[in-house]
Amino acid sequence: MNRRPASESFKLLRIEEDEELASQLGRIFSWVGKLQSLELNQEYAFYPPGLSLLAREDRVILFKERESLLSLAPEIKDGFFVVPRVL
Amino acid sequence: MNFSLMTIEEILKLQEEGKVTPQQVWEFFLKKREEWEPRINSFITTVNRMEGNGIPAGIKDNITVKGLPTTCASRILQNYIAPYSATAWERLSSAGFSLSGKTNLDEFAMGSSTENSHYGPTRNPWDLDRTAGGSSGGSAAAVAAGAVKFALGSDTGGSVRQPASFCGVVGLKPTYGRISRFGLVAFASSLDQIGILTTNVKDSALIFSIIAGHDPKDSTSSRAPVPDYSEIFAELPENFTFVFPDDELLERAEPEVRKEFSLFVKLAEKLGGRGKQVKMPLLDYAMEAYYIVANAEASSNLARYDGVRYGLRERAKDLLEMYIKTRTTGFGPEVKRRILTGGFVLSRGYYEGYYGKAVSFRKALASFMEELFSSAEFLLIPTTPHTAFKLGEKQEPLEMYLEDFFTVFVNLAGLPAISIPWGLINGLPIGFQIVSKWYNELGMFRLAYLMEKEISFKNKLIQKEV
Repeated sequence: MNRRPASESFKLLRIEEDEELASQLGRIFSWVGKLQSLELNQEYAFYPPGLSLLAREDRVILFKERESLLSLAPEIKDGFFVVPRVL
Repeated sequence: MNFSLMTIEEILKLQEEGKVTPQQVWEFFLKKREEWEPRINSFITTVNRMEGNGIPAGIKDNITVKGLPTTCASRILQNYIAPYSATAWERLSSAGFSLSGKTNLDEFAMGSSTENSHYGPTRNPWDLDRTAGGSSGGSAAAVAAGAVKFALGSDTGGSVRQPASFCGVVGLKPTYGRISRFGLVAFASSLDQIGILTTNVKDSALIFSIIAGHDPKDSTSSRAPVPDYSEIFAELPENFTFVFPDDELLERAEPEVRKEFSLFVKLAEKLGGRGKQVKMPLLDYAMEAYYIVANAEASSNLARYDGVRYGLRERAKDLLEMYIKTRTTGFGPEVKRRILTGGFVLSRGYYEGYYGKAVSFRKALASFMEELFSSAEFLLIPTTPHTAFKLGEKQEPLEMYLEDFFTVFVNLAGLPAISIPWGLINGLPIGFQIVSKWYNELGMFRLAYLMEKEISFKNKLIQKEV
């Protein structure tokens, strides 16, 4: 089984050498693979009737309580998020 | 007075007439909560301050209420305090309802038993050794026990209807887009919908009429008109058409459930319905399509929990290590499994075969359902294959996923459905679903109400006076 597909979400989890998890995932992939036997038209977009791809107007709406958002961060300085060094 | 046995409308009328006060109503339900909560663990956070009419609501802890924790039952959000309220709660609060607390769930609404909660499982008030269902198990258990008058949940693949069936309450999943998702923490955005848990159909319709309707803060919320509550029950169906699945599909349910379901169908016929059995071959693939779509969207939605802007942060020497440590310790096993499978089905080389196929399947399923509802107004179908199972009974993830067989197709197609309690099998509740075409909640409520009156299900848990 491929343990490291090229996906950001994958890279951001450390999966220990866990045989049980590996076999569970193997069974899940094999199960969902059943869908491949269906012959379907390649129509990718799906919206329930009455809804289509609705985009909001492209304009900035300021959240009035900016400080309350920043206060949720594990660490901030001068209104910026602080993170460990990148390199 | 036993407010658990009344409709919300009846309680409000008594208040208007000056026969009861909001404080009396609030204290009645508070006593029930205090009596049940140590045994069922249906709340993550409780609130002890009454507001408005004193009629208490439980809000699933993946729906934000300003100033209160929204944990999603996850360690990664255990200290998160919501800076804004969900539109659904804003509307309920403006209508005068009180908040009794934030209810327990499977972590990020991923599960069918509430066993995936960082705060421990919710227990079914009908049998404390059994699950209340999931992922909105806390909401369903609290309503069933009479600890709150109603509750909000979220339904991505059956997470309102399945616990409703297990706990003997009414569970509504509206048409996709009917209720704003603003303030609902995203799991699978094209499937998620806020739902309602109540002890009766009238309350479900009342709460629906308050919280449904367009919200500019959610671009996927529908502009379709919402039925006025005062008109919903003005007339009831006399002659209606419905379909129900053929025996092959019903084999997915246990024999006792099939037997009870046949009586449910007979009741619909007795009430003037003309029923026809139909083949629904696509439903055999709905589970697989659901887990591909839901997990693909979850892997993207949950990328935001990285320890930078909110939530848990683990100390590390550099940014990448911080991301990895935070997510590895912050998420539970089921969430990790879903992120991994979601990432896989979206990855290069697998996308077309998995995700592409699943999205095409949704289109085919929606066309099939459209055709089905061109010949009948309703589809009747079981909600769950059996009654509530024992806590710890299902260890294999695949076995747990199959719990949602009768519910996920509704979410894939964006349809509305309501599960109503039918009766007891060996002392445990079982519910059945009425599904209808898009935006026909009104028709669905009317049939559900008509059937509810005939069924006259007695929830023994709420019969006792406080």
